[in-house]
Amino acid sequence: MITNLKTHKAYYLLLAGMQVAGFILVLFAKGDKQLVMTYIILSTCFYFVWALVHHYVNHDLHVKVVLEYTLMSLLGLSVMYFFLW
Amino acid sequence: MKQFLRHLLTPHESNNHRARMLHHSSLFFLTLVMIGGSFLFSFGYKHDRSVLGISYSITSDDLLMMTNQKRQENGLPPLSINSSLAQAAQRKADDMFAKNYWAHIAPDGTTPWYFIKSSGYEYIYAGENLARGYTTSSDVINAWMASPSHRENMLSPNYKEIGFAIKDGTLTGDDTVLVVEEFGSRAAESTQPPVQSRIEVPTPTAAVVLPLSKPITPVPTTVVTPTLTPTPTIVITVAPLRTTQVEAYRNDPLISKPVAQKDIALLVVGIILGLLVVDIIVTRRKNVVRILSHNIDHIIFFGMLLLIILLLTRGGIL
Repeated sequence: MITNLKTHKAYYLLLAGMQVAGFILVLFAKGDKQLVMTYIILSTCFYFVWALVHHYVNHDLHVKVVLEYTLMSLLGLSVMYFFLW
Repeated sequence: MKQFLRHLLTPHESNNHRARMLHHSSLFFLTLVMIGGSFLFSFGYKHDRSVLGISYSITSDDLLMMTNQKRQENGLPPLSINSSLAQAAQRKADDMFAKNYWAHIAPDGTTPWYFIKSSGYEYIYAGENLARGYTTSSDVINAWMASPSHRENMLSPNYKEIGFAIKDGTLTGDDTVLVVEEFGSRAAESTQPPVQSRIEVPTPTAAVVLPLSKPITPVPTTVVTPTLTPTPTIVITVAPLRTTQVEAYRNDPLISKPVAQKDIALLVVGIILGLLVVDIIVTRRKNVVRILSHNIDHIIFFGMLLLIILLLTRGGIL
């Protein structure tokens, strides 16, 4: 796990950077629920696509990996939908 | 029980070294529960607000008392409730919900000064503070005091009177409580010395204003000017009382929707984050090798969601 983190530092930095960017966008959209949800969906989409690209480049893109990211993304979105609506 | 919890929450041989709650079937089930829950909450909120509603304890009296407390701490004279300003605040709140905006100036260009003037208040100084999403009067006051521009309004020596409106509803898609605070001082007052003891002329508003304001400040002096005794004040006096009555009725549902939504969302995100962290620690200790162990990715993603929930549960001021 830690080795993985070190060797893929750039990928993780990109993911963390984009998630922070998503958070900042939400910060500015505060008060407009639909815009907030749009930014959350965009951040989630980035997380999902980032995962696919990362694993594809790493030659370990399996169906189970895709399923795990799909479920994590859906769970994240459903929690945020529950929270906002 | 202990074994079941270990199976559910920690990586172990019994769950193929991955907490059961992180298995695909559990994640899918949890997703369905969250979607079902959101529909259930929406249905409950639409149909019975005495069960599922917005809970808050904000009253004009508390807001006035706390505002004056802050002013006194800063060596300023207290403000008194003015029914025209209260009516202006109520009309502003109604307008914000009707036109669905969160701003000082409406999308059609209507300014706060329009509401103040059209409520019969001829000001020489006027100001407005807005707050939404807070559940107690002290939270509202503290948020305003923490912002330099709002603090400036609250502690301005130019203002003599104040009016509040508290209203709950759906604003820009958000179920929230809106607080409007209008400040003002009238031309007649500014020319008068700051303290007047001739309160012998009763005004139509005095009967209602008195219970709301603790120290009696020279509000009634305005009546000295004959032009400033408009009839609308009779109607205006009802506004703050009605607001208080509505608060008493509405602000105590069985379940507070925003609080329940926040708590459940935080619980789910917190559990997932906790399980992922535990997974990292246990698998490192045991040197377990797996295909599915993208915990850092998930932690970054759910960490962002946690921060967003914490950010959005805080109220906003304008």
